Amino acid sequence: MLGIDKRLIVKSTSQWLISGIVAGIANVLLSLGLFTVLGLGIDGLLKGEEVFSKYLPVLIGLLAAKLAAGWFFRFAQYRASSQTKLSVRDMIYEHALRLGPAVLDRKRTGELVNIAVDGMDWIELFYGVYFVQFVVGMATPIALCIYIGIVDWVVGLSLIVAIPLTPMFLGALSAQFRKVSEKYADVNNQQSAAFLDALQGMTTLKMFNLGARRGAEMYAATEEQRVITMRLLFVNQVMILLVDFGFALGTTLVLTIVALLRMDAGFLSPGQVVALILISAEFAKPLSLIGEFFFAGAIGREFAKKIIAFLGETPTVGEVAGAVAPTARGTGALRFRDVVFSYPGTDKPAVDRFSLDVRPGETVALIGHSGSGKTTVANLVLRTLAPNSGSIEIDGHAVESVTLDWVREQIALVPQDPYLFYGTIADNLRLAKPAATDQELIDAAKAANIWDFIQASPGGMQTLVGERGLSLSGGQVQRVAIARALLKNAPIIVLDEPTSQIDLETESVIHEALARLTANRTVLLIAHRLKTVQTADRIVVMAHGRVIEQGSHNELLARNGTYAQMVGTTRSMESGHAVAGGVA
Amino acid sequence: MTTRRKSHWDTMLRLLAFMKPLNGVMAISVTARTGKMWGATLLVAVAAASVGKFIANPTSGELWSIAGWLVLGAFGLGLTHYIEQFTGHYVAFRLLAMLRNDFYKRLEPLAPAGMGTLRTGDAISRVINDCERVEPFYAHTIAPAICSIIVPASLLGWLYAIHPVFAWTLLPFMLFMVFVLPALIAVIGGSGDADWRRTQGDVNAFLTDSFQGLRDTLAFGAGLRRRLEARRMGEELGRGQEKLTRADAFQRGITEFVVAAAAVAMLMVGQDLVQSGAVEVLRDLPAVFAITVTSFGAVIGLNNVINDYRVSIVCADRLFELMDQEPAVQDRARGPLGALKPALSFDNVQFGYQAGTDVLRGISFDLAPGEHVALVGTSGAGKSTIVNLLLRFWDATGGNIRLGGRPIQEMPLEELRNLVAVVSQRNYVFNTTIGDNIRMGKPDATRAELDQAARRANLKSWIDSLPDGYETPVGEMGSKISGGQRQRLAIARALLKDAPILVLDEATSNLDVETEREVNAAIRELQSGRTTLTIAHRLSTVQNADRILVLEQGRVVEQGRHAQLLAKGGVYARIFELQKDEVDALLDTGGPLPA
Repeated sequence: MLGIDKRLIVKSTSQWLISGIVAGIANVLLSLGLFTVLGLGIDGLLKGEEVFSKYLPVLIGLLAAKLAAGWFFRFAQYRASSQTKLSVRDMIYEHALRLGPAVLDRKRTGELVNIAVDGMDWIELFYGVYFVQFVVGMATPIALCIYIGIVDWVVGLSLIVAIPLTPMFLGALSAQFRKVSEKYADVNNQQSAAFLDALQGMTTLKMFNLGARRGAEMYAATEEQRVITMRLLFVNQVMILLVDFGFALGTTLVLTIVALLRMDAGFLSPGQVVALILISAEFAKPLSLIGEFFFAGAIGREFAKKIIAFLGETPTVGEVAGAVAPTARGTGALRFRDVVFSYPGTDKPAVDRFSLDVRPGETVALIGHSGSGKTTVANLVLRTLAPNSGSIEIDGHAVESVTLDWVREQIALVPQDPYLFYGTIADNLRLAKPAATDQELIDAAKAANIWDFIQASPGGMQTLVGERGLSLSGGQVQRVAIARALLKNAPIIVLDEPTSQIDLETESVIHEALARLTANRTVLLIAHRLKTVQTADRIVVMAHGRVIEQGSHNELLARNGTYAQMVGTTRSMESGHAVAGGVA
Repeated sequence: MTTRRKSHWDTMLRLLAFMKPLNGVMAISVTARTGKMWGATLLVAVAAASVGKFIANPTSGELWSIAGWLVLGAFGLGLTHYIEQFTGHYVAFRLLAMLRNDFYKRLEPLAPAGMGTLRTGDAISRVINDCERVEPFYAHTIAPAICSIIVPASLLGWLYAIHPVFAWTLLPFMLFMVFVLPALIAVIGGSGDADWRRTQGDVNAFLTDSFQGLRDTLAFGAGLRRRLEARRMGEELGRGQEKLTRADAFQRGITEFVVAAAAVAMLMVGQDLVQSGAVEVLRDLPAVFAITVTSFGAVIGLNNVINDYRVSIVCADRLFELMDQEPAVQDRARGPLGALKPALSFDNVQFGYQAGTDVLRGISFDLAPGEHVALVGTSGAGKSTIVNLLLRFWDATGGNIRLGGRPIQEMPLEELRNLVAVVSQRNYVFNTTIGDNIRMGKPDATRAELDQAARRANLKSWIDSLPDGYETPVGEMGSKISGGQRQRLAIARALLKDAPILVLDEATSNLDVETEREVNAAIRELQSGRTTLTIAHRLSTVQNADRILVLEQGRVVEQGRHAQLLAKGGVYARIFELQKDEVDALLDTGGPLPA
């Protein structure tokens, strides 16, 4: 009923939430107590009693209790919200790790950051200001009616009608709020998107001298929308008028008239009537408090839905029950048998009956143009994707029978676009081996041809990389990644060969580093250069997810197929004929 | 970047000045809010006072009169609330539009030089959020602030009218709530707020980093480690929040206490005044109690908006900083230009985006009318900077750029940009219809002109195949618009623009070889009869240029035709050597692979 899935209320949260609700209700009861004493005071004064000294001990008690309850009310809400934030964020990250990068592509990553960062701020606010207030607000009219009923059952009865008023009006208000806020959000999102579009494309706009014109268009569109929305509000918001009006009538007016009549009949003293009238003001309070934080409730619920939807996604690769971690370090043998894989939502397999045996220490180059399935094969080895059928074995172990951790320990990945985390160079290297000594880091950096650069940087190994620190060139990032892979010292290397736009000097330096990395290890190479391909023990030419040719450089040349054709093209290029790219 | 640290007051005054056109509506909003709060008090006070009245005159006529007043009060409450909400929305809506419009108008002349850090979508989203977060300053801060003074003051006046002692008794409680408590909270919270914000930023950055680097995290088995680290940072953040939590909880407790204590104090002085005969129990005390317990509403409301206010000010500061920059170029020249020959010359041009780090170090070259010249070089050689200087997004720090013999600084910016069409690596496609995107080249283009441009850019058959043709919204297709289509769309735009000088800035470098071939056909169509400068790092695109210039470290190091440069065995030959064995490219030139 509160629109929040149980998974988002962890155990420690619910305890704090309940404490907060108790404190909130206690506060309402304490107010009732105070008003009652004020009423007693009036009755006493009418009789000429010394009321102040008579009630002083009770009043002091009430004041102290109010202080404590008010304090605890906020404190418990804070605790609940910070606990939730902590656990739910952890749940999101854990689930992201389980889903893996193959499922969470670049676009999804943006959404994920939005949920886990901005969304969690809203969830925090949801628990921090809304949830407890909402429950207390719903319970308040009931508590008030019971109390009033005890004082005088007729007045209590006449107000029973007010009990459903709060949820009813809240329902009506929230429906209105939703309608208006959806409309508003809709318009706002559109305009925000148009604004974003114009800012992102501003350079293009200026090239066409359209910058000012686009600005004027946007403003005109905004104005038009505003007039429409204001018209809508003008009518819709009348609900607020009715709610306020009806609520005041349903509580204060009814209570006052009935109480006066009961007083006239001798069932209530004047002081009691005054106390009841003061209490009647409490009916309206939850409404305005909840109303004030409605946005937190609405937006929080929206994000809660998104989070639950994300947590509900099933990972494509799961650890199979009973998976073991072999104790021996693998030798690096790799075997594919009739592996078939299709991305969800596509009917054409990305990898189709793919079979391949890689001996320990062998370097196998996969070539084929984009979409041929090379990268998918790499993801299957890393078990960020699981095959639909067929089997993959590492060192004779079917990958499903061993733990994910073990599989990933056997493989070091050097991607084309390695990710460096914000932190020092040393931190980024230690990603591969947290316990590495400084000397080990230096050795790896030297082998990867990046030590000279690190040494020349102001902070050495402690130099910050990333957004707020040193920005590294593509070639330098590559070499840090190679050093990372060296430190990991895994028997299998999955290498997506770097290509694009690396400057002339670093080219040879990187190749030297790669040669050191791949020596004596099994290498699955996603190759982009003929020169590198030629040094592989075996070349596998892929198309449409299948192996169409394989063998050594010489074998393939002799076969005179696709590969031989490619090499022929290069030869003809060397002899000076214009070629690639189809410039006629 | 401004070095002067602006005070909150400057920013606030500037924001206030900005909302001048809305002062009238704002005044209505404040009045309505005051009315609403008065209404809430009045309703309870009238009801409470009715007890005495009814005892004095226990007739049904009196009862009807009481009911009548209460109905009136309730209606007033509803009406003022309605007006407050409506005007509040009006102000919020108008202001957000005004803010965006103003920001856009100020930023547009600055772009792209003044965009500074706004290169990424993320940064732009943040700016947009900033605009949205300034809005609460107007919508939720100003009215509560004014009401927190007016409402208590007027209620004190009412108490004073009943008996001055009541007003004097309530005054210290009010002063405490308005002035002392906020200061006390600030002391207790201390630097907690700032600390918390900073740590929060760190945690968010760490999380963003973790999601973006998910693949590498998993590949190195560092998932659990990063998870624990995120948790630890979160816990640390929680501990940092402790101070704030305590301050806020303290504030809530004290508020509850003060409101109750004020009522208790009224009982105390009320007793004395009754005993001295200065007031009558049933005529005065119920109303006094009612006023007392409801009078704090406006003050309590204020505390809730202080946070909104702070966030608004910080966001406004960031926006103003961006808006206040000097444009990188001045548009002083007056037109019209008259006829110009489409010749282009760079003469010893020097430029650096930051002082001390020159990207171009005295670069010189000429393009004769109709000539096709290519610029090649490795990344970072300064190729794209040349486009930025030619369009005067920045001004060169030394040397001269001439178009048709005229220094470009002497041309009105608008006319200069009309003379040059650019097709770049990633042309921005706006989230409107395909037709609108093409029409950018000539906003008043006829349908026939549109058709012709689409046909020449090899887009016509694709557009015709879409059910809505030109009216198809680009956004609906999402990522379905391919790289090749995007480039051809940009070419169609440039064709419509029909500028005498054409710059192809890595126009095909993001495309695979097959698509590149298709796009090249459209490019040739575009080039014919125009002076063309092609910028590329992939040599296959430039081999047919009349002349190739090789750029290295901000200088032209070689020039000549393809064959000459190859024969020379210099930088060009080395780049060629490197590129010729790219497997992917070769696979495609080797003909389609057997399925």
